[in-house]
Amino acid sequence: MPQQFEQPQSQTQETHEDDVLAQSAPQSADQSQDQSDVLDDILNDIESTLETNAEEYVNSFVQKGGE
Amino acid sequence: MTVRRVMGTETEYAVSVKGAGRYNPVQLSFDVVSAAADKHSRNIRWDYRQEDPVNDARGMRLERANARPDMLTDAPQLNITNVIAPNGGRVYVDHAHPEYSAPETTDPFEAVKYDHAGNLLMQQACERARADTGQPIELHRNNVDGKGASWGTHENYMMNRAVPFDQVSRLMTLHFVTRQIYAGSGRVGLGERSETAGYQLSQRADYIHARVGLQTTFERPIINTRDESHSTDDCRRLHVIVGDANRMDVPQVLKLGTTSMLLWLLEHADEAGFDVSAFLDGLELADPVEAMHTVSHDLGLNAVLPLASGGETTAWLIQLKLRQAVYQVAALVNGTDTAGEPQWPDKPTTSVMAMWGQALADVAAIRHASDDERLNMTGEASRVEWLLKWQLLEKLRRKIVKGANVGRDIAGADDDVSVVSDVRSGTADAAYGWADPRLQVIDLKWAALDPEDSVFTKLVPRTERVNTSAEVTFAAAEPPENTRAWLRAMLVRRFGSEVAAVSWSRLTAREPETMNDDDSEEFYGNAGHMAAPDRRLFSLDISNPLAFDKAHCAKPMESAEHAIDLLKALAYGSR
Repeated sequence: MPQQFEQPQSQTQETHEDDVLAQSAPQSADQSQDQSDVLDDILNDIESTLETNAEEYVNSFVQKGGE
Repeated sequence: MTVRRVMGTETEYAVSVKGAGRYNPVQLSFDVVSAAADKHSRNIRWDYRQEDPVNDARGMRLERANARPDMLTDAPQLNITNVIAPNGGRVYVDHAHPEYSAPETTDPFEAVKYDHAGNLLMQQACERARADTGQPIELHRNNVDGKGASWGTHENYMMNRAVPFDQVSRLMTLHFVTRQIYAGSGRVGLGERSETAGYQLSQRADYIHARVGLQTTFERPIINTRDESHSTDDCRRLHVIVGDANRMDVPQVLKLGTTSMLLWLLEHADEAGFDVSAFLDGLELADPVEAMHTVSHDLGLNAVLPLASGGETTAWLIQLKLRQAVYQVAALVNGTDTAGEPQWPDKPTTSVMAMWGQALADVAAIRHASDDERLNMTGEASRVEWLLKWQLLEKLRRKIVKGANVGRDIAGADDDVSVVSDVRSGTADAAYGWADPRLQVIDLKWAALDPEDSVFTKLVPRTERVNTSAEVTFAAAEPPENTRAWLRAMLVRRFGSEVAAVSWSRLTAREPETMNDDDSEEFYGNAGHMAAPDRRLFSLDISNPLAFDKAHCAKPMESAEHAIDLLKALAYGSR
């Protein structure tokens, strides 16, 4: 059967991806807490800032171009 | 084969007044830069004589008459303020932005440390400027205002001038178009004026409109050809203008590290018998400018990029091939160990190559993940800045959309919140909620330099760091010891106002007896002209960035009574 010699393209890509898995990384981040909870906490923290005048806050940030 | 070379960054900051509808960013820039000066550095001028902004790396000169006035940075200017930072870097006004140029460093980890030290120096200056002016001045480390303006974050690499510029240009085009997949800092809004709601990988991509050119403020090119080495004649400085103002460490190390490795490849390809031209021919993009925009807008991470040869590729595959080419040349030049790994000569190189591999693994994992899965990725988000920012924004977007639906009492609101898996939240096709100004506030607060105001500060513990906070604080106060930045910083610290002018490649001191003359403040201005007779000044050429480090200069520094004695001792070889 010719089909059994066909390799799906995604599988070829997976092989590439395995090749590049790295051995070491710099100082790891603190991941003891769930990512979702941390993000929620931050959003709750700044909720009051976000609720008041978000549009005005954004509109007042106007720059001139640089290099 | 090493990642080590002389390199450094330049960061333009956004300056604004909190809550004010109108302000003058040019005046605010002067306020901040002026507040960065201390008693040592206040009167020292920047020496523009060596600046040559109209010299083009492609081997021609732009006629000065054809240059726009804002390109002529060596032209006389009133009121310009320059401050030599305590670490040997430079704080100055560039157009309508306060800018920090980090001192010269020799590897990507040091370069990132000194780049982030600039955040501390600029925030200190900003706080002093607040006190001086009574206005709540703010600085942001980003590149866009969402209303059409963009400003730069630049990388500089010293490289061997013998490499044909055409090769540099072609290889770097491939790299700069595709490195966004792991180096982008993320941006709310699509288009120069955020005309379309959505999210993209890079801050800077939408403002790039040309393949190659000298200009940096209009029709910005992927490859900037400004040829001003600030070094010896056998070197050129590759000046890179397409990068984002990252907050996270890892993307920044990657930008500096991978680019340096690819320059190394060009410098050693002949030696290894590696055919650069054939390699480049096979990967050349049909339209690199369009590809730059495509890659930045592609949250699916699999957009097809047409090749000049008629084939197709993706950003990820190009990055994979660039990394493989570095491996191939390194194995040929340096040999391999028993595991077949090229023998990397030092720790920074080993780390950068591992981090490059990790980055490609991260991007592959993100590509295969649904939006719900992406929201919970922790390892990848600790290294990929655009993903971490997206997570925060997407969380908020879902809350907003859910709230709006509940408010309107729409049945099945939860179903509307989750996103169909093949259309990524944040793309133009799935931009529901992305136009909400609250998301733009998050994007802005991500960039806020003031730790009190910054959402990024709260997420720092969730990111991988390459330098500790203590190391960054130290780097704000002390120069790198292994480049000429050490001499520049120490000369200013020790002799203060005896130093007349400073630049990247030259130091000028006054005869001490001329110090109290009425004209001593004026005779050496920013104009680049020397109004005083030469005998009252002495200039030392420090073009070689590695020749005036601590090891070479500490002893003469100790024994010199005046700045001019030190410069003469170094010039006439008593060291």
